[in-house]
Amino acid sequence: MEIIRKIGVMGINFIHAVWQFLVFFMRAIHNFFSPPFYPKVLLRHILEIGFYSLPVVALTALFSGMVLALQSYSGFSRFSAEGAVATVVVIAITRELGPVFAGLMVAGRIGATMAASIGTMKVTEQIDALKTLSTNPFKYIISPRILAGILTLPFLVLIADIIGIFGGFLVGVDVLGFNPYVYIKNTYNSLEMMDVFVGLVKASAFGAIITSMGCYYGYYTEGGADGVGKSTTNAVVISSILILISNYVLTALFFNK
Amino acid sequence: MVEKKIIKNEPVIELKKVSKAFGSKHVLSDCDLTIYKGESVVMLGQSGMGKSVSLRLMLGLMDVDSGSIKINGAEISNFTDEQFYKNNKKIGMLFQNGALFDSMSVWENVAFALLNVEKMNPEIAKKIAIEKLDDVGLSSKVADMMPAELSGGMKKRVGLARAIATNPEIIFFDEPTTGLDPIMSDVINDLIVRCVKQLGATALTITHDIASAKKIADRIVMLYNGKIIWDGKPADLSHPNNEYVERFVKGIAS
Ligand SMILES: Nc1ncnc2c1ncn2[C@@H]1O[C@H](COP(=O)(O)OP(=O)(O)OP(=O)(O)O)[C@@H](O)[C@H]1O
Ligand SMILES: [Mg+2]
Repeated sequence: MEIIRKIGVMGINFIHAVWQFLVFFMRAIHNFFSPPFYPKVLLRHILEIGFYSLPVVALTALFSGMVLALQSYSGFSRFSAEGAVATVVVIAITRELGPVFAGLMVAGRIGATMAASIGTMKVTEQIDALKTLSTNPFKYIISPRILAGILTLPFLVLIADIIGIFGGFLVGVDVLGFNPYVYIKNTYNSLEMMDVFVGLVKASAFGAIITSMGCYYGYYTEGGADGVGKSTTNAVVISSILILISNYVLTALFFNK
Repeated sequence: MVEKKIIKNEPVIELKKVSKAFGSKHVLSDCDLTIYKGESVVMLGQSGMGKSVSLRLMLGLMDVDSGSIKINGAEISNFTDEQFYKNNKKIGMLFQNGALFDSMSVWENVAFALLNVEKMNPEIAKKIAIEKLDDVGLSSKVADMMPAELSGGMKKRVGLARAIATNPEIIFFDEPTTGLDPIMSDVINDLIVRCVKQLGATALTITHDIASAKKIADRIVMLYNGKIIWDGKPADLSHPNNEYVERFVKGIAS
């Protein structure tokens, strides 16, 4: 009986949280479209997400492209199909690994930062202070961050795609001894605009997930430094999980024909 | 000195039967309070009595459980988002802990509403910010520092400068002199008096400092167990005709 009651309470809490999040998200979207706008704030977050995430995203992309080439070579050489290495690298990077790894790295970096800084603003009454200074925190804090995420992640992923493919090329040519011209030609032949495009759509979705989770957990932080810590963890964990789930859903939607 | 006018038939802040509880803890119960135009009211009360909560309610940062709060005759719980933010342009608030934006420099804090709401030219806004900092006894060197580099009392004064930067009609001060030395307290007291007299603002100040209360108040009210139990002139504070108030003023536990 006690267990059933607990599960019931958990279920209700979960539904309540989802509902609260949806209302929060709709409010943020609504505030995109009505003035006042804060273009400087938007620009700052585009820079923060896009520019300052470049090193980590580039590094992850480089090494995932490299390891992909290495592994697929050792697998395909059993069937004497080594020529497929370039194809596998291109498809895997543009469709899945580019967007997902970039998404997860940005979730760790930006999701955490946003939850921590907004959470701190909440518990130190800075958000209330904004309101008394006639500034809507949704317009000033939340909407620009979410918009920046939606706009910026595709660019990051595009760069991750290029660097990932380049990583595969490096290993293919330097370690596995492919002819560079053949490798590039194979890469070019396997490159589908549709794959890249879907990857960028995914990226935008991940950008929305990361920033809205960071903002949501930050905005509803309760209880001092401890609460800020909890919000930060939640934002990163939940947005990472949602990235993986929504990645599957989007893959199923676009590629499962 | 400019003769100041309290306009008794023009209530600026009106609380009627306001109640607020957190769980089973009743902070305000059927609390009434009216503050008139041009008046400087000081609210006294023991720690944890709900003084800060009543300010948050008047600012619409928290919702009442029951009762009504009117600012300039308008019921604040009926405000749309737009009306709420428009109404706040008339209001200045000093938070008990300063609530400075820690990602911005001191002058950007002070000039926040000038820059982001009034869209003032940054150079002019900075000039005004430096003047306001001067009013609270801070030198222009502080203007480019970050809040993390300031002492507690300096933060409080920056918060004060921010609250009065737009010359608001209604000002709320939550413990403006707590944590300041006696000389600086006096500077702040003078500043509050000046805001009310020269700018014709209406002010509600919370303080534990009886000397400062006597200096800045036209009227003093005492919050106790969710209600205003005493309401009188500063001069009456020494003979309040109320045992609790007398003990409070003299600082006697029981
Ligand atoms: N967000 C909140 N959630 C739960 N309880 C709260 C909340 N805010 C205030 N309280 C409670 O309301 C009561 C009044 O708090 P308030 O901050 O108004 O006190 P105060 O009169 O300003 O005290 P002080 O002089 O120490 O600042 C306290 O008992 C506090 O525990
Ligand atoms: Mg207080």
